[in-house]
Amino acid sequence: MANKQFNIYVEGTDDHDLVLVIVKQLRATVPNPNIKITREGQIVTTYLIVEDTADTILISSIGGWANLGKKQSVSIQQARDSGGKTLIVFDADEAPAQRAAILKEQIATDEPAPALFLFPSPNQPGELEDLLLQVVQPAHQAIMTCYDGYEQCLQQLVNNGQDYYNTPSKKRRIYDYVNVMPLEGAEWDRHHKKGGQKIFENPSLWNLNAPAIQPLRDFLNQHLS
Amino acid sequence: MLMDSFEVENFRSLKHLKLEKLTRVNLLVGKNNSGKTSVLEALFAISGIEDANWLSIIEKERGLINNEFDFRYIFYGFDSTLSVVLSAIHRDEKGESHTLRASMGIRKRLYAKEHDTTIHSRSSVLTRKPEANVLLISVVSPTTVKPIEISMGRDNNGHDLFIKTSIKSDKELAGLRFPGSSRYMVSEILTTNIDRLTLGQKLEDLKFNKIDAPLLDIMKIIDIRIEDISLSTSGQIYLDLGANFRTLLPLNLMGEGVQRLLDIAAAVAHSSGGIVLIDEIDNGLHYSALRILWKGILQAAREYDVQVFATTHSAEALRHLTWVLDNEENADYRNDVAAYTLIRADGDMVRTYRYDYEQLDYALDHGVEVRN
Repeated sequence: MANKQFNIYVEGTDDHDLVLVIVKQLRATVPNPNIKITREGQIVTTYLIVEDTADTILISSIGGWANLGKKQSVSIQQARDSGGKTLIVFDADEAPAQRAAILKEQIATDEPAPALFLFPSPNQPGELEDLLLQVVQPAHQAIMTCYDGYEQCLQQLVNNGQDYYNTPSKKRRIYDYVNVMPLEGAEWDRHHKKGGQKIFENPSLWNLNAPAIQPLRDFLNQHLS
Repeated sequence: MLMDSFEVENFRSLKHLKLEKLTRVNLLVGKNNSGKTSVLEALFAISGIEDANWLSIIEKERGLINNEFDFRYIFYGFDSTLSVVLSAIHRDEKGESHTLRASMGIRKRLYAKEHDTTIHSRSSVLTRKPEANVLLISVVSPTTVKPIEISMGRDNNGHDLFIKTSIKSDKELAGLRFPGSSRYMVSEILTTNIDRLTLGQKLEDLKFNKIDAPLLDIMKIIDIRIEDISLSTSGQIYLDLGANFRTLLPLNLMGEGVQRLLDIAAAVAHSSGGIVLIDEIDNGLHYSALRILWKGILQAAREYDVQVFATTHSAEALRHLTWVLDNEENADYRNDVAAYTLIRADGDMVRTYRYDYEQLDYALDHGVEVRN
Protein backbone atom coordinates (compact mmCIF):
# COMPACT_ATOMS: atom_id res chain seq x y z
CA MET A 1 0.00 0.00 0.00
CA ALA A 2 1.41 3.36 -0.99
CA ASN A 3 1.72 6.12 1.54
CA LYS A 4 -1.26 8.35 2.10
CA GLN A 5 -1.31 12.09 1.72
CA PHE A 6 -3.30 14.31 4.03
CA ASN A 7 -3.84 17.99 3.28
CA ILE A 8 -4.81 20.44 5.99
CA TYR A 9 -5.84 23.80 4.54
CA VAL A 10 -6.07 26.75 6.89
CA GLU A 11 -6.59 30.46 6.38
CA GLY A 12 -3.61 32.21 7.96
CA THR A 13 -0.21 31.75 9.54
CA ASP A 14 -1.53 31.56 13.11
CA ASP A 15 -4.00 28.88 12.05
CA HIS A 16 -1.13 26.98 10.40
CA ASP A 17 1.11 27.26 13.44
CA LEU A 18 -1.56 26.13 15.88
CA VAL A 19 -2.58 23.14 13.77
CA LEU A 20 1.07 22.22 13.24
CA VAL A 21 1.75 22.12 16.97
CA ILE A 22 -1.30 19.97 17.65
CA VAL A 23 -0.50 17.57 14.79
CA LYS A 24 3.01 17.15 16.18
CA GLN A 25 1.52 16.37 19.57
CA LEU A 26 -0.87 13.83 18.09
CA ARG A 27 1.52 12.07 15.70
CA ALA A 28 5.23 11.33 15.76
CA THR A 29 6.39 13.24 12.70
CA VAL A 30 9.51 14.62 11.10
CA PRO A 31 9.76 17.43 8.56
CA ASN A 32 9.99 16.14 5.00
CA PRO A 33 13.75 16.29 4.37
CA ASN A 34 13.28 16.95 0.66
CA ILE A 35 10.84 19.84 0.85
CA LYS A 36 11.70 23.14 2.47
CA ILE A 37 9.16 24.80 4.75
CA THR A 38 7.86 27.89 3.00
CA ARG A 39 7.17 30.96 5.14
CA GLU A 40 6.81 34.20 3.26
CA GLY A 41 4.41 36.81 4.62
CA GLN A 42 1.00 35.21 4.97
CA ILE A 43 2.07 32.12 3.03
CA VAL A 44 3.27 29.20 5.07
CA THR A 45 3.44 25.57 3.99
CA THR A 46 4.84 22.63 5.91
CA TYR A 47 5.26 19.01 4.84
CA LEU A 48 5.52 16.42 7.61
CA ILE A 49 6.22 12.72 7.34
CA VAL A 50 4.47 10.49 9.89
CA GLU A 51 7.20 8.27 11.32
CA ASP A 52 5.39 4.97 11.65
CA THR A 53 3.36 5.08 8.42
CA ALA A 54 5.49 7.37 6.20
CA ASP A 55 2.26 9.18 5.35
CA THR A 56 2.59 12.80 4.25
CA ILE A 57 0.80 15.64 6.03
CA LEU A 58 0.69 18.95 4.17
CA ILE A 59 -0.36 21.98 6.23
CA SER A 60 -0.84 25.08 4.11
CA SER A 61 -2.24 28.54 4.67
CA ILE A 62 -4.16 29.73 1.66
CA GLY A 63 -5.35 33.20 2.71
CA GLY A 64 -9.09 33.77 2.92
CA TRP A 65 -11.77 31.13 2.50
CA ALA A 66 -12.53 32.40 -0.99
CA ASN A 67 -9.12 31.08 -2.12
CA LEU A 68 -10.12 27.47 -1.52
CA GLY A 69 -10.89 25.60 -4.73
CA LYS A 70 -9.24 25.23 -8.10
CA LYS A 71 -5.79 26.33 -6.95
CA GLN A 72 -5.52 23.38 -4.56
CA SER A 73 -7.21 21.00 -6.99
CA VAL A 74 -4.19 18.80 -7.73
CA SER A 75 -3.18 18.32 -4.09
CA ILE A 76 -6.77 17.48 -3.19
CA GLN A 77 -6.95 14.88 -5.97
CA GLN A 78 -3.62 13.41 -4.90
CA ALA A 79 -4.78 13.05 -1.30
CA ARG A 80 -7.97 11.31 -2.37
CA ASP A 81 -6.19 9.00 -4.83
CA SER A 82 -3.63 8.03 -2.18
CA GLY A 83 -6.34 6.96 0.25
CA GLY A 84 -5.73 10.03 2.39
CA LYS A 85 -7.98 12.99 2.98
CA THR A 86 -8.30 16.76 2.78
CA LEU A 87 -9.08 18.60 6.00
CA ILE A 88 -10.38 22.15 5.99
CA VAL A 89 -9.83 24.21 9.16
CA PHE A 90 -11.28 27.68 8.67
CA ASP A 91 -13.14 30.39 10.59
CA ALA A 92 -16.89 29.97 10.97
CA ASP A 93 -17.40 33.76 11.04
CA GLU A 94 -21.05 34.74 11.54
CA ALA A 95 -22.82 31.69 10.06
CA PRO A 96 -21.14 28.29 10.56
CA ALA A 97 -23.64 26.22 8.57
CA GLN A 98 -23.56 28.58 5.63
CA ARG A 99 -19.76 28.79 5.65
CA ALA A 100 -19.48 25.00 5.80
CA ALA A 101 -21.79 24.61 2.83
CA ILE A 102 -19.84 27.14 0.77
CA LEU A 103 -16.47 25.56 1.54
CA LYS A 104 -17.70 22.09 0.65
CA GLU A 105 -19.17 23.38 -2.57
CA GLN A 106 -15.86 25.02 -3.52
CA ILE A 107 -13.98 21.71 -3.59
CA ALA A 108 -16.84 19.33 -4.35
CA THR A 109 -15.42 18.45 -7.77
CA ASP A 110 -12.17 17.13 -6.33
CA GLU A 111 -13.30 16.01 -2.88
CA PRO A 112 -17.00 15.34 -2.31
CA ALA A 113 -16.53 14.60 1.39
CA PRO A 114 -13.85 16.79 2.98
CA ALA A 115 -13.32 16.84 6.72
CA LEU A 116 -14.34 20.26 7.95
CA PHE A 117 -13.67 22.08 11.21
CA LEU A 118 -14.70 25.66 11.77
CA PHE A 119 -13.22 27.86 14.49
CA PRO A 120 -13.86 28.39 17.30
CA SER A 121 -15.68 25.06 17.79
CA PRO A 122 -18.35 23.01 16.03
CA ASN A 123 -21.54 24.92 15.20
CA GLN A 124 -20.32 28.09 16.92
CA PRO A 125 -19.94 31.40 15.11
CA GLY A 126 -16.58 33.09 15.53
CA GLU A 127 -12.96 32.71 14.54
CA LEU A 128 -9.60 31.37 15.57
CA GLU A 129 -9.01 34.17 18.07
CA ASP A 130 -12.17 33.23 19.98
CA LEU A 131 -10.63 29.84 20.57
CA LEU A 132 -7.18 31.22 21.40
CA LEU A 133 -8.64 33.48 24.07
CA GLN A 134 -9.92 30.32 25.75
CA VAL A 135 -6.55 28.60 25.75
CA VAL A 136 -4.49 31.43 27.20
CA GLN A 137 -2.45 29.99 30.04
CA PRO A 138 -4.49 30.63 33.24
CA ALA A 139 -1.40 31.92 35.00
CA HIS A 140 -1.38 34.89 32.60
CA GLN A 141 -5.11 35.47 32.48
CA ALA A 142 -4.60 38.74 34.37
CA ILE A 143 -3.11 40.24 31.21
CA MET A 144 -6.55 39.96 29.64
CA THR A 145 -8.02 41.93 32.52
CA CYS A 146 -5.48 44.67 31.84
CA TYR A 147 -6.48 44.56 28.21
CA ASP A 148 -10.16 44.86 29.12
CA GLY A 149 -9.31 48.07 30.97
CA TYR A 150 -7.39 49.42 27.96
CA GLU A 151 -10.29 48.64 25.65
CA GLN A 152 -12.84 50.25 27.99
CA CYS A 153 -10.70 53.35 28.24
CA LEU A 154 -10.48 53.63 24.46
CA GLN A 155 -14.20 53.02 24.12
CA GLN A 156 -14.89 55.96 26.44
CA LEU A 157 -12.83 58.21 24.21
CA VAL A 158 -14.79 57.01 21.21
CA ASN A 159 -18.08 57.51 23.02
CA ASN A 160 -16.99 61.04 23.93
CA GLY A 161 -16.69 61.99 20.29
CA GLN A 162 -13.16 60.90 19.50
CA ASP A 163 -14.56 58.27 17.18
CA TYR A 164 -11.54 58.28 14.94
CA TYR A 165 -9.79 55.84 17.30
CA ASN A 166 -9.84 52.17 16.44
CA THR A 167 -10.77 49.84 19.24
CA PRO A 168 -8.44 46.84 19.30
CA SER A 169 -9.51 43.64 17.57
CA LYS A 170 -9.32 40.16 19.06
CA LYS A 171 -6.40 39.56 16.70
CA ARG A 172 -4.62 42.54 18.26
CA ARG A 173 -5.35 41.26 21.73
CA ILE A 174 -3.73 37.89 20.95
CA TYR A 175 -0.73 39.58 19.38
CA ASP A 176 -0.21 41.82 22.37
CA TYR A 177 -0.62 38.90 24.77
CA VAL A 178 2.40 37.19 23.22
CA ASN A 179 4.17 40.51 22.77
CA VAL A 180 4.34 41.23 26.50
CA MET A 181 5.70 37.79 27.31
CA PRO A 182 9.36 37.41 28.30
CA LEU A 183 10.38 35.44 25.22
CA GLU A 184 14.02 34.63 24.57
CA GLY A 185 16.26 33.51 21.74
CA ALA A 186 14.56 31.89 18.77
CA GLU A 187 11.11 32.37 20.24
CA TRP A 188 11.72 36.11 20.61
CA ASP A 189 12.94 36.26 17.00
CA ARG A 190 9.93 34.33 15.72
CA HIS A 191 7.52 36.70 17.39
CA HIS A 192 9.31 40.02 17.05
CA LYS A 193 11.15 39.59 13.77
CA LYS A 194 9.42 36.84 11.80
CA GLY A 195 5.81 37.76 11.38
CA GLY A 196 4.53 37.89 14.94
CA GLN A 197 4.44 34.13 15.47
CA LYS A 198 2.50 33.08 18.55
CA ILE A 199 4.78 30.30 19.82
CA PHE A 200 1.93 27.87 20.38
CA GLU A 201 4.23 25.06 21.45
CA ASN A 202 5.27 27.03 24.55
CA PRO A 203 3.14 25.68 27.41
CA SER A 204 3.81 28.71 29.57
CA LEU A 205 1.79 30.78 27.06
CA TRP A 206 -0.85 28.33 25.87
CA ASN A 207 -2.78 25.49 27.40
CA LEU A 208 -3.37 23.22 24.42
CA ASN A 209 -5.07 20.68 26.67
CA ALA A 210 -7.82 23.10 27.66
CA PRO A 211 -11.37 21.77 27.13
CA ALA A 212 -12.05 24.48 24.54
CA ILE A 213 -9.46 23.07 22.13
CA GLN A 214 -10.39 19.44 22.60
CA PRO A 215 -12.83 19.39 19.63
CA LEU A 216 -10.01 20.51 17.32
CA ARG A 217 -7.66 17.88 18.72
CA ASP A 218 -10.35 15.21 18.31
CA PHE A 219 -11.04 16.35 14.76
CA LEU A 220 -7.38 16.15 13.71
CA ASN A 221 -6.84 12.85 15.48
CA GLN A 222 -9.88 11.32 13.81
CA HIS A 223 -9.12 12.38 10.27
CA LEU A 224 -5.35 11.95 10.10
CA SER A 225 -5.48 8.20 9.67
CA MET B 1 -5.06 21.52 -34.26
CA LEU B 2 -3.30 19.95 -31.29
CA MET B 3 -3.41 16.54 -29.69
CA ASP B 4 -6.00 16.72 -26.91
CA SER B 5 -5.28 13.55 -24.96
CA PHE B 6 -2.93 10.60 -25.05
CA GLU B 7 -3.24 7.18 -23.46
CA VAL B 8 -0.61 4.48 -23.11
CA GLU B 9 -0.93 0.84 -22.12
CA ASN B 10 1.93 -1.60 -21.58
CA PHE B 11 4.57 0.48 -23.34
CA ARG B 12 8.12 0.52 -21.92
CA SER B 13 7.90 1.44 -18.21
CA LEU B 14 4.26 2.43 -18.47
CA LYS B 15 1.59 -0.07 -17.50
CA HIS B 16 -1.03 2.59 -17.96
CA LEU B 17 -1.00 6.36 -18.24
CA LYS B 18 -3.36 8.99 -19.56
CA LEU B 19 -2.72 12.66 -20.26
CA GLU B 20 -5.78 14.83 -20.77
CA LYS B 21 -6.42 18.43 -21.80
CA LEU B 22 -3.09 18.67 -23.57
CA THR B 23 -2.10 22.10 -24.75
CA ARG B 24 0.66 23.61 -26.87
CA VAL B 25 3.55 23.30 -24.40
CA ASN B 26 3.23 20.32 -22.07
CA LEU B 27 5.67 19.63 -19.26
CA LEU B 28 6.07 16.23 -17.69
CA VAL B 29 7.43 16.36 -14.16
CA GLY B 30 8.06 13.64 -11.63
CA LYS B 31 10.63 11.67 -9.75
CA ASN B 32 13.21 9.50 -11.44
CA ASN B 33 11.65 6.38 -12.95
CA SER B 34 8.18 7.91 -12.96
CA GLY B 35 7.95 7.21 -16.70
CA LYS B 36 8.52 10.67 -18.18
CA THR B 37 10.92 9.57 -20.89
CA SER B 38 8.75 6.58 -21.77
CA VAL B 39 5.89 9.02 -22.43
CA LEU B 40 8.09 10.92 -24.88
CA GLU B 41 9.03 7.66 -26.57
CA ALA B 42 5.38 6.63 -26.83
CA LEU B 43 4.48 10.00 -28.37
CA PHE B 44 7.39 9.69 -30.77
CA ALA B 45 6.17 6.23 -31.74
CA ILE B 46 2.60 7.20 -32.47
CA SER B 47 3.56 10.35 -34.31
CA GLY B 48 5.42 8.33 -36.94
CA ILE B 49 4.23 4.81 -36.39
CA GLU B 50 4.68 3.71 -40.00
CA ASP B 51 8.38 4.50 -39.92
CA ALA B 52 10.82 2.29 -37.98
CA ASN B 53 12.73 5.43 -37.02
CA TRP B 54 10.95 5.58 -33.66
CA LEU B 55 12.18 2.11 -32.84
CA SER B 56 15.74 2.91 -33.91
CA ILE B 57 15.82 6.09 -31.83
CA ILE B 58 14.64 4.28 -28.69
CA GLU B 59 17.23 1.57 -29.22
CA LYS B 60 19.97 4.11 -29.80
CA GLU B 61 19.12 6.28 -26.80
CA ARG B 62 18.71 3.30 -24.51
CA GLY B 63 21.89 1.60 -25.70
CA LEU B 64 20.09 -1.35 -27.25
CA ILE B 65 21.84 -1.31 -30.59
CA ASN B 66 22.80 -4.94 -30.41
CA ASN B 67 19.35 -5.77 -29.24
CA GLU B 68 19.57 -9.00 -27.41
CA PHE B 69 15.99 -8.57 -26.23
CA ASP B 70 14.48 -8.51 -29.65
CA PHE B 71 11.60 -6.00 -29.21
CA ARG B 72 10.72 -7.17 -25.73
CA TYR B 73 11.92 -3.82 -24.38
CA ILE B 74 8.91 -2.19 -26.05
CA PHE B 75 6.60 -4.05 -23.68
CA TYR B 76 5.89 -3.23 -20.08
CA GLY B 77 7.82 -5.58 -17.83
CA PHE B 78 9.53 -7.09 -20.90
CA ASP B 79 6.40 -9.19 -21.25
CA SER B 80 5.83 -9.61 -24.97
CA THR B 81 2.60 -11.51 -24.39
CA LEU B 82 1.01 -8.16 -23.53
CA SER B 83 -0.54 -5.85 -26.06
CA VAL B 84 0.81 -2.31 -26.31
CA VAL B 85 -1.85 0.28 -27.05
CA LEU B 86 -1.15 3.92 -27.85
CA SER B 87 -4.17 6.19 -28.36
CA ALA B 88 -3.98 9.83 -29.37
CA ILE B 89 -7.15 11.91 -29.47
CA HIS B 90 -7.33 15.03 -31.48
CA ARG B 91 -10.18 17.51 -31.19
CA ASP B 92 -11.14 19.61 -34.16
CA GLU B 93 -12.52 23.15 -34.20
CA LYS B 94 -16.06 21.82 -33.82
CA GLY B 95 -15.05 19.98 -30.66
CA GLU B 96 -15.39 16.57 -32.27
CA SER B 97 -12.78 14.03 -31.28
CA HIS B 98 -10.80 11.77 -33.61
CA THR B 99 -8.78 8.86 -32.30
CA LEU B 100 -5.60 7.42 -33.74
CA ARG B 101 -4.97 4.08 -32.09
CA ALA B 102 -1.97 1.81 -32.54
CA SER B 103 -1.89 -1.68 -31.08
CA MET B 104 1.32 -3.67 -30.96
CA GLY B 105 2.00 -7.31 -30.32
CA ILE B 106 4.71 -9.85 -30.95
CA ARG B 107 4.45 -12.71 -33.37
CA LYS B 108 7.02 -15.34 -32.63
CA ARG B 109 8.59 -16.60 -35.77
CA LEU B 110 10.55 -19.81 -36.04
CA TYR B 111 12.55 -20.06 -39.23
CA ALA B 112 12.50 -23.25 -41.13
CA LYS B 113 15.67 -24.99 -42.08
CA GLU B 114 17.90 -22.45 -43.72
CA HIS B 115 21.13 -24.03 -44.70
CA ASP B 116 23.29 -27.02 -44.25
CA THR B 117 26.68 -26.04 -42.93
CA THR B 118 28.19 -29.46 -43.46
CA ILE B 119 26.90 -30.17 -46.91
CA HIS B 120 30.25 -31.45 -48.06
CA SER B 121 30.96 -33.53 -45.01
CA ARG B 122 30.01 -37.07 -44.44
CA SER B 123 27.53 -36.41 -41.65
CA SER B 124 25.07 -33.70 -42.48
CA VAL B 125 23.98 -31.37 -39.62
CA LEU B 126 21.15 -28.97 -40.28
CA THR B 127 21.12 -25.62 -38.49
CA ARG B 128 18.34 -23.19 -37.87
CA LYS B 129 18.44 -19.47 -37.41
CA PRO B 130 17.46 -18.60 -33.87
CA GLU B 131 13.90 -17.80 -33.04
CA ALA B 132 13.14 -14.25 -34.10
CA ASN B 133 10.23 -12.04 -33.19
CA VAL B 134 8.22 -9.74 -35.39
CA LEU B 135 6.58 -6.62 -34.01
CA LEU B 136 3.07 -6.39 -35.41
CA ILE B 137 1.37 -3.02 -35.35
CA SER B 138 -2.24 -2.40 -36.22
CA VAL B 139 -3.31 1.21 -36.66
CA VAL B 140 -6.86 2.50 -36.73
CA SER B 141 -7.89 6.05 -37.45
CA PRO B 142 -11.23 7.65 -38.31
CA THR B 143 -10.24 7.94 -41.96
CA THR B 144 -9.10 4.38 -42.51
CA VAL B 145 -11.62 1.88 -43.82
CA LYS B 146 -9.71 -1.03 -42.36
CA PRO B 147 -6.76 -1.16 -39.99
CA ILE B 148 -3.34 -0.49 -41.44
CA GLU B 149 -1.00 -3.36 -40.67
CA ILE B 150 2.69 -2.81 -40.10
CA SER B 151 5.28 -5.43 -39.23
CA MET B 152 8.85 -4.85 -38.15
CA GLY B 153 11.49 -7.50 -37.83
CA ARG B 154 15.22 -8.06 -38.04
CA ASP B 155 17.56 -9.49 -40.59
CA ASN B 156 21.28 -10.01 -40.62
CA ASN B 157 21.43 -11.66 -37.21
CA GLY B 158 19.33 -9.00 -35.64
CA HIS B 159 21.27 -6.00 -36.87
CA ASP B 160 19.02 -4.66 -39.61
CA LEU B 161 15.45 -3.57 -39.09
CA PHE B 162 13.02 -4.34 -41.86
CA ILE B 163 9.51 -3.04 -42.15
CA LYS B 164 6.51 -4.17 -44.13
CA THR B 165 3.25 -2.26 -44.28
CA SER B 166 -0.12 -2.68 -45.88
CA ILE B 167 0.04 0.96 -46.95
CA LYS B 168 -0.28 1.05 -50.70
CA SER B 169 -1.13 4.67 -51.38
CA ASP B 170 -0.67 8.20 -50.12
CA LYS B 171 -4.35 8.13 -49.24
CA GLU B 172 -3.80 5.26 -46.87
CA LEU B 173 -0.74 6.96 -45.42
CA ALA B 174 -2.85 10.04 -44.81
CA GLY B 175 -5.10 7.82 -42.73
CA LEU B 176 -2.41 7.82 -40.09
CA ARG B 177 -3.00 11.52 -39.65
CA PHE B 178 -5.96 13.37 -38.35
CA PRO B 179 -8.59 14.67 -40.73
CA GLY B 180 -7.71 18.06 -42.09
CA SER B 181 -4.40 18.11 -40.29
CA SER B 182 -0.85 17.56 -41.37
CA ARG B 183 0.10 16.81 -37.79
CA TYR B 184 1.93 13.53 -37.33
CA MET B 185 3.87 14.09 -40.49
CA VAL B 186 6.82 15.26 -38.45
CA SER B 187 8.09 14.83 -34.97
CA GLU B 188 11.46 15.37 -33.35
CA ILE B 189 12.84 13.93 -30.15
CA LEU B 190 15.66 15.83 -28.49
CA THR B 191 17.87 14.39 -25.81
CA THR B 192 20.37 16.22 -23.65
CA ASN B 193 23.19 15.79 -26.14
CA ILE B 194 23.22 18.22 -29.04
CA ASP B 195 23.77 16.44 -32.35
CA ARG B 196 25.46 19.23 -34.32
CA LEU B 197 25.39 17.31 -37.57
CA THR B 198 21.62 16.90 -37.40
CA LEU B 199 21.25 20.48 -36.19
CA GLY B 200 23.22 21.68 -39.23
CA GLN B 201 20.98 19.68 -41.54
CA LYS B 202 17.86 21.19 -39.99
CA LEU B 203 19.24 24.71 -40.33
CA GLU B 204 20.09 24.02 -43.96
CA ASP B 205 16.52 22.82 -44.58
CA LEU B 206 15.10 25.92 -42.93
CA LYS B 207 17.30 28.24 -44.95
CA PHE B 208 16.57 26.39 -48.19
CA ASN B 209 12.84 26.71 -47.54
CA LYS B 210 13.24 30.34 -46.46
CA ILE B 211 11.49 29.80 -43.12
CA ASP B 212 14.45 30.63 -40.91
CA ALA B 213 13.57 34.28 -40.22
CA PRO B 214 11.39 33.56 -37.12
CA LEU B 215 14.16 31.31 -35.82
CA LEU B 216 16.57 34.23 -35.99
CA ASP B 217 14.09 36.39 -34.07
CA ILE B 218 13.92 33.76 -31.36
CA MET B 219 17.70 33.57 -31.11
CA LYS B 220 17.80 37.34 -30.68
CA ILE B 221 15.91 36.84 -27.40
CA ILE B 222 18.99 35.20 -25.98
CA ASP B 223 21.51 37.51 -27.65
CA ILE B 224 20.38 40.63 -29.44
CA ARG B 225 23.69 40.77 -31.31
CA ILE B 226 22.92 37.66 -33.38
CA GLU B 227 22.42 38.94 -36.92
CA ASP B 228 22.60 35.69 -38.82
CA ILE B 229 23.10 31.95 -38.51
CA SER B 230 25.14 30.42 -41.29
CA LEU B 231 26.58 27.09 -42.30
CA SER B 232 29.89 26.15 -43.83
CA THR B 233 30.09 23.59 -46.61
CA SER B 234 31.42 21.14 -44.02
CA GLY B 235 28.33 21.66 -41.89
CA GLN B 236 29.95 23.88 -39.25
CA ILE B 237 27.39 26.26 -37.68
CA TYR B 238 28.37 29.92 -37.28
CA LEU B 239 26.72 32.92 -35.69
CA ASP B 240 27.23 36.44 -36.96
CA LEU B 241 27.40 38.76 -33.95
CA GLY B 242 27.70 41.94 -35.97
CA ALA B 243 30.33 44.48 -36.92
CA ASN B 244 32.18 44.32 -33.61
CA PHE B 245 33.26 40.77 -34.38
CA ARG B 246 35.73 40.50 -37.22
CA THR B 247 34.78 36.92 -38.04
CA LEU B 248 31.80 34.66 -37.68
CA LEU B 249 31.70 32.77 -34.39
CA PRO B 250 31.48 28.97 -34.36
CA LEU B 251 28.43 27.79 -32.43
CA ASN B 252 30.49 25.56 -30.18
CA LEU B 253 32.27 28.65 -28.80
CA MET B 254 28.97 30.09 -27.65
CA GLY B 255 27.49 29.36 -24.22
CA GLU B 256 25.51 26.23 -23.56
CA GLY B 257 22.28 28.23 -23.29
CA VAL B 258 22.68 29.56 -26.83
CA GLN B 259 23.43 26.10 -28.18
CA ARG B 260 20.54 24.47 -26.36
CA LEU B 261 18.06 27.14 -27.42
CA LEU B 262 19.19 26.92 -31.03
CA ASP B 263 18.86 23.14 -30.92
CA ILE B 264 15.33 23.36 -29.53
CA ALA B 265 14.20 26.28 -31.68
CA ALA B 266 15.56 24.63 -34.83
CA ALA B 267 13.75 21.40 -33.95
CA VAL B 268 10.51 23.34 -33.48
CA ALA B 269 10.98 25.26 -36.72
CA HIS B 270 11.83 22.06 -38.56
CA SER B 271 8.69 20.32 -37.26
CA SER B 272 6.17 22.92 -38.33
CA GLY B 273 2.69 21.53 -37.79
CA GLY B 274 4.10 18.62 -35.82
CA ILE B 275 5.37 17.56 -32.44
CA VAL B 276 8.65 18.19 -30.64
CA LEU B 277 9.68 16.06 -27.69
CA ILE B 278 12.42 17.30 -25.39
CA ASP B 279 13.94 15.20 -22.64
CA GLU B 280 15.28 17.04 -19.56
CA ILE B 281 14.71 20.44 -21.09
CA ASP B 282 16.72 22.36 -18.51
CA ASN B 283 19.67 19.97 -18.46
CA GLY B 284 22.99 21.77 -18.22
CA LEU B 285 21.46 25.23 -18.36
CA HIS B 286 22.35 27.98 -15.93
CA TYR B 287 19.29 29.40 -14.19
CA SER B 288 19.83 32.73 -15.93
CA ALA B 289 19.17 31.05 -19.29
CA LEU B 290 15.92 29.39 -18.21
CA ARG B 291 13.62 32.36 -18.73
CA ILE B 292 15.05 32.98 -22.16
CA LEU B 293 14.65 29.31 -22.99
CA TRP B 294 10.97 29.32 -21.99
CA LYS B 295 10.20 32.52 -23.82
CA GLY B 296 11.93 31.17 -26.91
CA ILE B 297 10.01 27.90 -26.75
CA LEU B 298 6.64 29.58 -26.22
CA GLN B 299 7.27 31.94 -29.12
CA ALA B 300 8.66 29.26 -31.44
CA ALA B 301 5.91 26.74 -30.69
CA ARG B 302 3.25 29.24 -31.63
CA GLU B 303 5.15 30.71 -34.57
CA TYR B 304 5.65 27.29 -36.18
CA ASP B 305 2.39 25.72 -34.92
CA VAL B 306 4.17 22.98 -33.01
CA GLN B 307 3.04 21.00 -29.98
CA VAL B 308 5.85 20.57 -27.45
CA PHE B 309 6.24 17.88 -24.81
CA ALA B 310 9.18 18.26 -22.44
CA THR B 311 10.37 16.55 -19.29
CA THR B 312 12.02 18.12 -16.27
CA HIS B 313 12.52 17.39 -12.62
CA SER B 314 13.74 20.86 -11.82
CA ALA B 315 11.50 23.01 -9.64
CA GLU B 316 13.68 25.93 -10.66
CA ALA B 317 12.86 25.38 -14.32
CA LEU B 318 9.15 25.44 -13.50
CA ARG B 319 9.58 28.54 -11.36
CA HIS B 320 11.25 30.39 -14.22
CA LEU B 321 8.45 29.35 -16.55
CA THR B 322 5.81 30.85 -14.28
CA TRP B 323 7.89 34.00 -13.89
CA VAL B 324 7.90 34.36 -17.67
CA LEU B 325 4.13 33.89 -17.72
CA ASP B 326 3.61 36.24 -14.76
CA ASN B 327 4.88 39.04 -16.97
CA GLU B 328 1.84 40.75 -18.48
CA GLU B 329 3.51 41.01 -21.88
CA ASN B 330 3.49 37.20 -21.97
CA ALA B 331 -0.04 36.80 -20.57
CA ASP B 332 -1.26 35.62 -23.94
CA TYR B 333 0.86 32.46 -23.57
CA ARG B 334 -0.65 31.39 -20.23
CA ASN B 335 -3.18 29.05 -21.80
CA ASP B 336 -0.44 27.52 -23.94
CA VAL B 337 1.12 25.78 -20.94
CA ALA B 338 0.24 22.78 -18.80
CA ALA B 339 2.37 20.73 -16.42
CA TYR B 340 1.68 17.11 -15.61
CA THR B 341 2.97 15.43 -12.46
CA LEU B 342 3.56 11.71 -12.96
CA ILE B 343 3.27 9.52 -9.88
CA ARG B 344 3.86 5.79 -9.85
CA ALA B 345 1.05 4.41 -7.72
CA ASP B 346 -0.23 1.06 -6.50
CA GLY B 347 -0.17 -1.64 -9.13
CA ASP B 348 2.57 0.31 -10.97
CA MET B 349 -0.06 2.47 -12.64
CA VAL B 350 1.17 5.97 -13.38
CA ARG B 351 -1.23 8.63 -12.20
CA THR B 352 -1.07 12.02 -13.86
CA TYR B 353 -2.12 15.35 -12.39
CA ARG B 354 -2.52 18.42 -14.54
CA TYR B 355 -1.59 21.96 -13.50
CA ASP B 356 -2.61 24.93 -15.59
CA TYR B 357 -0.60 28.14 -15.31
CA GLU B 358 -2.64 29.52 -12.42
CA GLN B 359 -2.46 26.29 -10.43
CA LEU B 360 1.25 25.88 -11.11
CA ASP B 361 1.98 29.45 -10.11
CA TYR B 362 -0.02 29.05 -6.90
CA ALA B 363 1.67 25.76 -6.01
CA LEU B 364 5.16 27.16 -6.55
CA ASP B 365 4.35 30.37 -4.66
CA HIS B 366 3.05 28.34 -1.72
CA GLY B 367 5.89 25.84 -1.61
CA VAL B 368 3.60 22.98 -2.65
CA GLU B 369 5.72 20.20 -4.14
CA VAL B 370 4.61 19.65 -7.73
CA ARG B 371 7.21 17.03 -8.63
CA ASN B 372 6.27 14.57 -5.87
